[in-house]
Amino acid sequence: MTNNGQKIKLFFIRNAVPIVFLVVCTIAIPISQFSMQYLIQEMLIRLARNSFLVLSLLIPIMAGMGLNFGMVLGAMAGQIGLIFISDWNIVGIQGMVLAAIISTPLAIFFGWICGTVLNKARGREMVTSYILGFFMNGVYQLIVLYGFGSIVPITNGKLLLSRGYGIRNTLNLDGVRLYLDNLIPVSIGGVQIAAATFIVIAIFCLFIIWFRKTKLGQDMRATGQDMAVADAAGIPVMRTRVISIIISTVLACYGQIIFLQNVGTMNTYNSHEQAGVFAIASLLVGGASVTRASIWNVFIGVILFHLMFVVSPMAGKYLVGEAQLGEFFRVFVSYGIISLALVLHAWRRHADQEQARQAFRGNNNNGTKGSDGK
Amino acid sequence: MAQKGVTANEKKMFIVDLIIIAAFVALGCFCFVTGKAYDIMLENKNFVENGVTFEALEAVNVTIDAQEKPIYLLNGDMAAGNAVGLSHTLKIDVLDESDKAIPDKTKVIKFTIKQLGTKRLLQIPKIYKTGKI
Repeated sequence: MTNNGQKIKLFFIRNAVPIVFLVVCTIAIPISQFSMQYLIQEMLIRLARNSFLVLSLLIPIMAGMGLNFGMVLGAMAGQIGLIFISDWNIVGIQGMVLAAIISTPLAIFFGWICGTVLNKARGREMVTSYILGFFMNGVYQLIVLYGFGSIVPITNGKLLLSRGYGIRNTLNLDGVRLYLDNLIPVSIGGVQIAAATFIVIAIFCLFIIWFRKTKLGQDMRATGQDMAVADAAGIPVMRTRVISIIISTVLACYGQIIFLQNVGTMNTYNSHEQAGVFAIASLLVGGASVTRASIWNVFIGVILFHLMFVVSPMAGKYLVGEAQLGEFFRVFVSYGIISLALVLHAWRRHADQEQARQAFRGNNNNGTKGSDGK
Repeated sequence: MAQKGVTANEKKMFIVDLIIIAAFVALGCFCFVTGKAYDIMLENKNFVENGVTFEALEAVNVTIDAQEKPIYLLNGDMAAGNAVGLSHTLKIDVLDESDKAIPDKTKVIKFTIKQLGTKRLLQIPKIYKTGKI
């Protein structure tokens, strides 16, 4: 009975965040007065739009590098690819594939930089990658605002600012808009399903499952559990960590391309900024932690987080007469949930250390008693 | 002996890397060629070439590559169309007084972007009459 009680308590502690979200959404849905069909449609759109980005976070967690805030670097690479295809007027699936091909070497390079820096900052990967994201954002803005149209040739004048160089704040991605989502049109009961996008996401999930079983995947798991032990076992720990970040960055780049093809417009200087925060918040809402995340956490998280996104403004409007309140609430929730997860992680680590220390003391005391008894 | 084995392995890896890069470059080129969209001007005006006059059609629907929306042109009209890739089909439907396609007056012509030159202008009366770009 006590054992069962402890299990239930542990379950609630481990899944506190998704449970709280579920409760809040359950209360907010009837207040928002949205129809079930509308909500299902919205969730399917958002699942197709965001899942790839969130999935890209799984591999660094497996390698013990925590939440990769550096995924914004991949998002930047993806956007550069999209700028080029917009300039060359490449449309459709070919446009998306070409954007991915152009941005892949950039994403590998950014991932390598990020991984190398994070290796120098072992133990503080998350804050380092967060700040690295800000730094690279500055570099990105410098290149796109001053380099494009002057050093990097841009032939389409519509993309440039009126001064003749620098990309406009907003790019219209009509050429690739919804091309992947509508590639295999499926409609069930009036609900549109982006079948092709879900197939891509499913392939990615299979890749992750397969990757975990490979030698490199096992090396990453070993590195994530204990770097010293992995190193002693002959695993090239630093190289493995860099590879995990490179894979994550490249996948985040593809995720951003899928995200923007769904949205149809690109905020040249802002779109990538929120990619990291929202993807990480989604994953944490799904019940993942800094050290443990699964594919299910991704889907549960995306659904719950975006359900809150959709429902909260209308719920706020009907409840208080102010839709803006819901907007504030969702921003507060996304940042709050990341803070909570980080605090919980720190608290758990501290508690584990204390427990290990107490166990060590207990063992020592028992050993001493044993020898005295003799 | 062991060193030789490592070198051979490295060579093999290098070749595999090169093949992957070449495959990506080839895929990129393919996407560039087949995915590039071109703006094409369509003109339905009286057109004179080598002393031969091609009279403008009263009303036509022009469809490029079976696109959903045909381009509707009246006598003297000019409009812009869009074509993706290098080779295309142009369908010209001559319309009656109630703007319905006359069944036996439809023509389908194949053309490539190269044929259009730098101007990318299609003279609909000439194309309809001769069946050539």
